[in-house]
Amino acid sequence: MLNVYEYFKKMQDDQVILYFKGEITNNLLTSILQLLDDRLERKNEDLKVRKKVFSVLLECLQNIYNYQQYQPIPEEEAYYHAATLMIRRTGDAYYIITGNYMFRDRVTKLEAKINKVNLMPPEELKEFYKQIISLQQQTDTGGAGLGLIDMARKSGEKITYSFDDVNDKYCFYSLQVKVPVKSN
Amino acid sequence: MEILRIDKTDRTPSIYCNPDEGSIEMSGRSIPENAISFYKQLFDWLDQYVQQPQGETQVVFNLEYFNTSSSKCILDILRKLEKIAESNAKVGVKWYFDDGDEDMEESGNDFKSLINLDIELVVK
Repeated sequence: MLNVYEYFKKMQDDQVILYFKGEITNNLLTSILQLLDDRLERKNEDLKVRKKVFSVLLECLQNIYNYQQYQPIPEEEAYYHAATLMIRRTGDAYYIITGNYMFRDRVTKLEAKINKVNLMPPEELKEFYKQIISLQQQTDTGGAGLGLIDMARKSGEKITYSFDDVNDKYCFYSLQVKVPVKSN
Repeated sequence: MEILRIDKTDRTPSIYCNPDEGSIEMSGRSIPENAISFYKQLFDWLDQYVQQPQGETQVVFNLEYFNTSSSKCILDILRKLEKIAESNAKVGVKWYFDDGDEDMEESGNDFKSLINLDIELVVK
């Protein structure tokens, strides 16, 4: 048998309040969001924080989902369909963390996008958001390209990410968005 | 013209549009992964309504959450309403948000600055 306690203890020590591994589907997305919403409401979490956590999670999961629709990983490589989601609650913040496999050739473009958003102060992000929303065409991943900008605006903090090498074709993309609990 | 009525789901808002009353209302969550296909019906309804609007049109956005895919559609809805206002008929938009939900309030302000319409931000 797997060492369940070891898994559990690690998550508890890391203050993980929600963990999921598997394929991201639409129904799953709705269920996870509902689960999280109920939990934060029961904890009497501040409405503002609750809505931010919910919105960031929503954009993270829909980004993964949309990417998989746009550039499907072939059926014979179903191993790489799996993704993961973690929510951590530390003393001063929620952390929404996702991880998924991605084709390596997309890394440069995505990294440039995140870095660009990370360099923008709030006012600039707001203007950037408005500029993108006003464009008629959608970006190549099918979405409006607004997800990252929206996450950055709601978080108010820099987005953290990493790309782990897997093999010649794939890498593992991890993304972390912080939602501070104390209001500024 | 007919009334447009769409029931709400876990992912999409309820929509009620009455051409005789000149009222357009949406309420709930708007988080579909493909917002354009969901809003198609409303776009079609609006394209027709714009041709023969009431002297006064009241629009209500009462959203709990919306995703970025929906935000583009909301802007498109407002752009269609802008056309009514340009034809000398009145359009009043109310954007509701929960007390303390600063992001929803901010979104209302974003749209307000992008669109030439009378958008009123209202605390629920």
